[in-house]
Amino acid sequence: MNPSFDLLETLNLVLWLLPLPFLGLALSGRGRSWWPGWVQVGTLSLLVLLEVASQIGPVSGSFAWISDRERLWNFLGGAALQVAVSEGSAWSGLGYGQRKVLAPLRRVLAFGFFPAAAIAALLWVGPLHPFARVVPWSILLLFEVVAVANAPVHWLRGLRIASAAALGFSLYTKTAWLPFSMLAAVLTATQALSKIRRDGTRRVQRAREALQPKAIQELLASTTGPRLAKDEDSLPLERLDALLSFAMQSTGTSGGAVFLYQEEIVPEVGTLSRRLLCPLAKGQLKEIANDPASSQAAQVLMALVGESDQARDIGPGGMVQNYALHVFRASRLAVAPIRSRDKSLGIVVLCPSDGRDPFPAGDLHVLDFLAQQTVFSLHYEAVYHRLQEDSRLSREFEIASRIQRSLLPRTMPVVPNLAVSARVLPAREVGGDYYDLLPLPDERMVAVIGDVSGKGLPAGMIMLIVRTTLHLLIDADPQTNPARLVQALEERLTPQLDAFTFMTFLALRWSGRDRVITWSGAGHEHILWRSAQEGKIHRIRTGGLALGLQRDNFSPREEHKLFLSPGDLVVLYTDGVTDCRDASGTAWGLDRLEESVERHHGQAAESLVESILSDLDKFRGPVPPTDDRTLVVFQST
Amino acid sequence: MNHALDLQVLPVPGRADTRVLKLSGEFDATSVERALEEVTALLDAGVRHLVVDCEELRYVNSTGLGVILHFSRVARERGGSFLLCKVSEPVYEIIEIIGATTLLEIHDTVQEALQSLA
Repeated sequence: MNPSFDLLETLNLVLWLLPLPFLGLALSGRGRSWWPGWVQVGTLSLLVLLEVASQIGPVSGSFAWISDRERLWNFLGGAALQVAVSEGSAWSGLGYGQRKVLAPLRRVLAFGFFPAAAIAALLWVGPLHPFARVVPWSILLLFEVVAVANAPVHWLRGLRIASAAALGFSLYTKTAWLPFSMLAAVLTATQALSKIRRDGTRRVQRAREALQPKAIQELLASTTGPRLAKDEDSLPLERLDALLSFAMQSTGTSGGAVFLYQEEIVPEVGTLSRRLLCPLAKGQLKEIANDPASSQAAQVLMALVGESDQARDIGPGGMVQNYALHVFRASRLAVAPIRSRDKSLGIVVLCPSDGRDPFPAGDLHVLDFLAQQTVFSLHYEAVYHRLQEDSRLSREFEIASRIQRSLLPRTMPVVPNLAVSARVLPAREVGGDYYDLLPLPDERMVAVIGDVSGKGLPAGMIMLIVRTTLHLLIDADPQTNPARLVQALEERLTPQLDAFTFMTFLALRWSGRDRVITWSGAGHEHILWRSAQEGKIHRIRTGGLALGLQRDNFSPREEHKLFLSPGDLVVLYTDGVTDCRDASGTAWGLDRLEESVERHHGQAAESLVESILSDLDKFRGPVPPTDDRTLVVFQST
Repeated sequence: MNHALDLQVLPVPGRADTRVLKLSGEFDATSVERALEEVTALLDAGVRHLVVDCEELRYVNSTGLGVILHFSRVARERGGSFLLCKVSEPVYEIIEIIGATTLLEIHDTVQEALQSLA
């Protein structure tokens, strides 16, 4: 016995068994979409290899256990199966033909089968070189590759695997596989017939293909473009118009209209009424938009459609139907409700050109589809307007944020014996934290830090009031001291605050000549003073009532002094720094702030601020900050 | 962890115009509106004295504190009172920093607060 015969037998067995595990997967729809097809490709590749090997290789002649006649049958059967499966699936609106580039290629290959089959017949019975037998199998293989790349639906994958299995089986049993091909062709035909029975599915499918991706892309493109920004109201109508035209075209109807509920105030009684109005009518129904009776007739149609979710064919019949048809000047109408969840939004109406016949089910499907798309456009319009509103607001917030940032000191004042650095990090665009540094005559400087209770825009506006007041006060009296400044600010600010808002505040004056900080607090966080001599950080309570807590009888403010030796550090902060939480909800806290100051105390003021804030960032991790964080550092030099 | 503020209103036997308000959780911007609604409703319904049990109040931020100070002011204007008791260390610290210890009546226990009303 020729040993290579056993090899071939084994190969054939493998070929036969290989696709089987995938069959279940594919039919259940769980298999990867490329598996079954590529298994088929693999099977065919092996066949081509076998042909090649039988012509040139050591197994020469051993492939002869299949007669030429059987090979011919095999090939013709395979070709018939492929054509039936692919053409049937394409024709029934499923399966191939989704990709533009591959679709024409598929057709060429599909029709190329018949000449290829003729060549094959000649090859096996005729006088051509035996090696040319590889050619038809290769065509089949190439076709399979193209088909697989076209993403078939899963019942098709099943057929593909079945055909691969049949091919292997026929080789193993050395029988022609025409019966399997016949079976596959019957299966395909059954599928196609069931598609036709579900009348119109194909057209709906095409409508989906034609409308969904492209139309939505166009819609999205057009909404971001400048054209629609100019005229926002044209958005839904333009889209509806395109949808209606499409529906009319694909159903061959000559008129169409959309009615939507609109709420309006009845002037006489001042109540809100809900009426069906026609924002869009085309073709034969064009006039209906201006007909005062149309609203009522549309209401009648709405009642006829009732609570159903499906389009209805309305022909002559009862009084109600006849009335509606009369108003619409039509002999027949197809009506679909536009519903979003449980709410009726309106109806879509189509009217045939000649129609006595009831609308076919397929046309009603198309109309349903149009109604769904209308809901989509209406939703889209609502979302779009909200987005526009949001983006307007966020633009304004951004402007407010810019204004606020521009009001912070741009450069650190240069004063004798002191290096100053400060940073504010708002939690949102606009915040209620405030610091300022104002150089005074005689080598002095005023520094303030404050925190308005609450956040966001209201707090930010208070911060602006404070800043303006403060600058006016200092301009008016550059010799003022912190206590007078705090009191004057309190008197002016308190009447501006609402019942719940207060502001912690701290004003310091640095006198460069005698190295003294004079300060007056209004309920602000501690002053951290790191004495270089002691190598230790002191927490100094600022004292005083926060601004806005007493509504009248503003009592004079206390004032304190602190002498700074060279190398001493003073750190001011807002509670956004110490209250900043990590993912577990733990606040950073004063202790950690002090540790951070201690760790970085040798750095220059500017990098010290950065280092502390970076420690805080590390602690916080990915948790977004909920409050503004402000840090001011003085370094006595 | 629970960020929300829980408000519980308890009657005081023998005192129709007084309620114990038990706050637990965190009192910040997210819970201000609810607290405002509930306490305003109580004050409008004729409750004059509110004893606020802060034992389980973990955290108050400036927004929450602004509202507490507002209640205290309103209650006093109406001839009543708004008493805090069992204030935890961190909450007391915040009240102290802004200098509001003189504006708020703070007691150690609910009992003590109720006695101060008598």
